[in-house]
Amino acid sequence: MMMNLIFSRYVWGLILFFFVLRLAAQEQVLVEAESFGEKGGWVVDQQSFPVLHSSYLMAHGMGRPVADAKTKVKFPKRGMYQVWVRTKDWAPFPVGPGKFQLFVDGKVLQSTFGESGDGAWKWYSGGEVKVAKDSVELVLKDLTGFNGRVDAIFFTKERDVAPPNELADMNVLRNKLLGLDAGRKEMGDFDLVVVGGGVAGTCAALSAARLGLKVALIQDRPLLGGNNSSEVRVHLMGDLDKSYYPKLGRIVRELDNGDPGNGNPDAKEYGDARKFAMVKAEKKLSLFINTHVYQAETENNRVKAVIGRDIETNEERRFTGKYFADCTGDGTLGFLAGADFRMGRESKKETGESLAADKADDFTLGTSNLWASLPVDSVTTFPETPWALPFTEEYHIDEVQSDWQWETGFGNFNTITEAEQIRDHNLRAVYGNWSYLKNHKPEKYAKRELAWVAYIGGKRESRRLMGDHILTQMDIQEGKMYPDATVTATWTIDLHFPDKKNTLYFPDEEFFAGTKHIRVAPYTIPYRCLYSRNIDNLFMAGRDISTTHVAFGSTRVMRTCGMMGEVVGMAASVANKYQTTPRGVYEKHLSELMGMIKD
Amino acid sequence: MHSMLRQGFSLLISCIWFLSVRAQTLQESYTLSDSGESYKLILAYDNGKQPVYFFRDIFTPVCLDDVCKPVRITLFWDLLGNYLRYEVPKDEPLTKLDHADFTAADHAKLQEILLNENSLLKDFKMEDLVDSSSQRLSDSVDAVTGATKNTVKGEVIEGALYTCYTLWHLAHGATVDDIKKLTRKKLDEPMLHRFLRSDNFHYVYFALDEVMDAQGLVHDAYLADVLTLLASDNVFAARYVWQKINLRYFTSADEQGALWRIFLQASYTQQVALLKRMVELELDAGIIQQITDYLPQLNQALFKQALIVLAGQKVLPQGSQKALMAYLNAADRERAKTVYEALREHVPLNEAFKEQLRSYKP
Repeated sequence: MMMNLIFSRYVWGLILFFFVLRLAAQEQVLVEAESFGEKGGWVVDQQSFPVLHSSYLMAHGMGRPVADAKTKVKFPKRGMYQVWVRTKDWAPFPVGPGKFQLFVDGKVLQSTFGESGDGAWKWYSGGEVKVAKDSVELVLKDLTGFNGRVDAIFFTKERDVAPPNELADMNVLRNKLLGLDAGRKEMGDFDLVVVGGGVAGTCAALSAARLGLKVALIQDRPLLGGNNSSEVRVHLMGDLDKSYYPKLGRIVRELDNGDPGNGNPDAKEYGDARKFAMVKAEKKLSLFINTHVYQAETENNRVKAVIGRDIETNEERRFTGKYFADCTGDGTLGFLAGADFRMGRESKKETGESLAADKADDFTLGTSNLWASLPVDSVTTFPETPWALPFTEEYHIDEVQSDWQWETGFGNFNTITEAEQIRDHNLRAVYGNWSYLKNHKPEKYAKRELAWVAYIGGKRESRRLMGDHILTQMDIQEGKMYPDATVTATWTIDLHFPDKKNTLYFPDEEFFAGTKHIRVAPYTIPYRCLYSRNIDNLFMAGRDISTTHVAFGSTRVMRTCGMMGEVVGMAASVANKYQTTPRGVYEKHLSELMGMIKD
Repeated sequence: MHSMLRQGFSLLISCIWFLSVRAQTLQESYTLSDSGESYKLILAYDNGKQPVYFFRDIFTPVCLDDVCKPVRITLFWDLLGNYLRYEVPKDEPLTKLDHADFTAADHAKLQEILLNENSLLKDFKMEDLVDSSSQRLSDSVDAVTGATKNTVKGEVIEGALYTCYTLWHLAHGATVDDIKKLTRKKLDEPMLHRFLRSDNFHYVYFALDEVMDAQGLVHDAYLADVLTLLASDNVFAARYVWQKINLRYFTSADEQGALWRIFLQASYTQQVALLKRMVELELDAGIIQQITDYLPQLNQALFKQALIVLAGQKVLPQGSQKALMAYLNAADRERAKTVYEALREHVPLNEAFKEQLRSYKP
């Protein structure tokens, strides 16, 4: 029922919330850009929520201005208002291309936004406007198609008082003007709350629901599948046919839409509809898309509830549950709940792994924003991009389509707190290179156009939540079969590093990766890697499970992650049956869990 | 399809052009034993009697057994052994596994493969690419496992795997070093000037390494060429020059003025590189003032870098100090902080400035 309700909303695109609060003084109006009623060609980006505590709207037009975004705003009081726009120059090198204008009631504001040369999110004055009606239309006009972005628009009758830039103050302002806490909705009480609707989370939710649990699956994008969705387009890797337990992988097989490779220009190849259909078919499973979980309520080392916010409407949603599964990739829920975690590389001394770093550091694998071009009938143009990375005959990537090597964030950026900068760096590489190819290699590229560029980053690595067992290189290479051996993994130990030539040309600004595949024999992941060692009712599946950095290099591929989800669903059903914890399943009911896996 | 035909046509035209050029030009022929290849390597000259390229006529088998014909092909290299292009005789076209002639698209693909000096073919042995059970040429690359499989597929022509492999290794094999040796023997001043001014970036770097020593000192005859490169929009070569060149060429006010003008015209990437090394220069008072005056035009990252340059100067002229002091109380607190942090430990400031620094509040 709940799921139908949410589905119908997105199918018809009818419900357009946004919050305009009347202060006692009735003199301030805050409009969150992501809540615009008509998005036009602008897209909603929630990837920086941990930093901004908000989503924003972005003009992702691959160099062609996108259609206007429009919304109606009710003003509690007519009169003169100061307008402020919260935005940034995303490529201040020295001035970026993300220019846009704001029209209030049909009149354009004098300032053009997004070209300040300043890379920080800030409020910019748009001057004064006269509001002569109760309801006024706002229009965001993109001028370039190059990723101009808006977080919010603020109207105030106070002169010369800028809204706050500090996060804490902004949160107060948002909460006050949007009525966030006051409007929070209770979404129900569940046996298992799965946070993260990538391949791991979707499999976990399906597995648990099919075993009779009442399950909530919360995903912070409009699509399921995460890195395998048509928003990211990474293909599924890891073998299913070498499994010690053939039963594992059945759900992964169901949602596998075939292998279109990485970054295929045809979105349909990635099977978004198939994933939705599978989830929709489960009566015990409620899906909540567009919901970013940003807060956890805990008590006695247990998660009691999680709170998410709709990435478009900003509606607040609270979910209570008996068990929770962190399938966020970033380990977001574990982090919010205080779970032990690691991020970066351990040292050789710490883990005894031959492939570990000499010294522990913050190095992580990077994030990919894949792209593809397609042939077109006539010659097309693409502008010069002085704000992007520079490419010349000497150094450019002569490719019509990307693959996994297009990757940024090897320890020089934090994959969680600097996700926006990483994506933007990827865009500067993609657009700079494409501009070079279009303008300097016409024989090959004149009749090609960018068909698709991902604005959602395909993230490989961030936090790893620590479980009762931490999988290591030795576990993998010695093929250790623990009594709780569950998922069979087959992918090489595949730890990316910046391509040497790329480093030569773009020192500290690398965007292209290399790797060395270290072959492994099929090995198993113990169940103890799939629950938190210090949060008693928290499971995890996906790339944030309990491994070392080195072992993560092999476990991180999506078919393997999906099988982890299947195991978590089974373990949650056992835990629920005996009213015990994930650890209790290992200590007292392992034979039952293993029986289900081997069945 | 239309563009493929056109590519094929232009390839044909270029073959004819090359044949006529070859007929007219002066050539020198070398038979080299150390490369193990007995085909003559020929150096072609232009009408101005300058060496322009090397080529070699090759007749080679391209199969492990006799399922396909040997290939007659001419490969061309630049003067440093970088592969340029190939020609095949009209009556002996390249063929694929099924004896079908190469299409225009196949030729375009082969040229792309041969141009890629980092092709994955470099690291593969032929056995890796062939179905060993039958010892017959394999169209597939299924022997290659894991993530590289699709990538290797992209680097060969279906049905002409061994042709691609053999020709790539001929184009990028021992000949490359042979050519470098020959060119080095012929290296003279006109050739070095030509290289420094060339559009061929390989020539540029080669010549830069010839005319600049380990201390970055440049042979007088080439200094003008090198400084022209520094000011050029060839961003990578300009950065290379700046990172290597000895700073004694930037000591006088005139030289520093010229450097600052280069900065003003440079791309963002080059501006970053220029400021990073300008810290090592003792700048003329006039230049310091020019930099100070230009600060409002810089974005925050360059502003910060320019402040490091200014803070590294022994003396800051009064005009510069006055302008910098104004930032401490300006509305832009990020810039205020940058100025404060760069200059708070800078000793030779006037008293007013020091007082401002002492009373600075973030």
